Amino acid sequence: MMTFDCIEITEELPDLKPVDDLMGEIKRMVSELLLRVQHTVAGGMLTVLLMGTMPMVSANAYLFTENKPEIIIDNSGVVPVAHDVATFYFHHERLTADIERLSVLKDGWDGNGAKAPSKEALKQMSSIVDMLDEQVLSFCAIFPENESGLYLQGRFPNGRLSVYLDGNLMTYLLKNKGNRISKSAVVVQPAAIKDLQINIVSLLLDENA
Amino acid sequence: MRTHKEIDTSTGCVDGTVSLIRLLCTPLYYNEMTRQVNPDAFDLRLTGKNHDQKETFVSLIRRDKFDDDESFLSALEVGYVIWDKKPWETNRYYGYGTFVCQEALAVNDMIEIWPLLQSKEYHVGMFYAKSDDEYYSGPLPKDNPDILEMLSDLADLISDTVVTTSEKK
Repeated sequence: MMTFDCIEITEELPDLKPVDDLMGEIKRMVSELLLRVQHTVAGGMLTVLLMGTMPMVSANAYLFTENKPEIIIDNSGVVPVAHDVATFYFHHERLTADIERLSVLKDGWDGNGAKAPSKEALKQMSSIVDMLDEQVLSFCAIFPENESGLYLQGRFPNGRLSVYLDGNLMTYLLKNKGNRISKSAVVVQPAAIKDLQINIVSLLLDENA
Repeated sequence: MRTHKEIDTSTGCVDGTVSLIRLLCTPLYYNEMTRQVNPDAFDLRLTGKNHDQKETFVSLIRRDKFDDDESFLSALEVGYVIWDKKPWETNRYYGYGTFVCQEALAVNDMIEIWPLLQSKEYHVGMFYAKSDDEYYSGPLPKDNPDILEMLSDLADLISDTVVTTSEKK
């Protein structure tokens, strides 16, 4: 992956909404943003992160500059932008929205007496979603469990992830064709989530796993 | 020997070649974007008026009792809400997934699929053996990685076969 010195500008644009010409819209907004902040960069890359309100359109617009700001948002540039721009942070927002929807579930959500997810389980899930990489999250879905817990399930190129949260502790399992990692009675805290992220990447995303 | 009052042992366990259906009773059992099934679809639950009756099997439908998909779908009133107050009168389902009996049996040694004394013609039950003497009842202990794996594997088994109401013609 190529790296550049970069200046990061973050500005919230509350009127962002899904449009047919997403790339055209992003180009227009980035041009306006550049004019407003009047940044010029000699060499390197200026990265502008755009975040909008729901329905969410988030984008990372990569600007490759020499003498003046110039927007390159297409697949022929040195960075893959067209697809990534449209989906950057999308999965984090998707799963965060899912957590919000599950937080208002009532008992009996399955039509047969299942308990609504507990606040503790929802909090655990939020912590995990906040810390896992966007690429990891792109393969994941969140489900309610009938005794107030939650599942985070992932279908990855090389295998599967299953995480169960009971509001107190976490149990998880990762497996591919040749290997299996499982842990139970894990306290959901940054070190444990980081450990999970590392295991996911090595076992489920690494082509050599 | 494990026995259970709901099992019809007269003809032996369900043949491995039989195709079976697991009905999905809510959109929360299936994620259409990632095409994943909720592992809870294969868990045992607490039911009853006071939420105190422990399920002892997962109910499955014999696919071979229906001539084709159209006749099966017409036998269901498909929709998002299930389990009206009088079961079987206005039940509606979100979708379903199909699998072959032996595929489920291969997931874990504790899985047994038996004909049921009730509703013999259409339904069979998936039981989970706890020991030589008994089956699990009520919600399974998902904090056990082996149990979590089994439920996830069963969910994954049908993930690519799920038909939902949005796809029904």
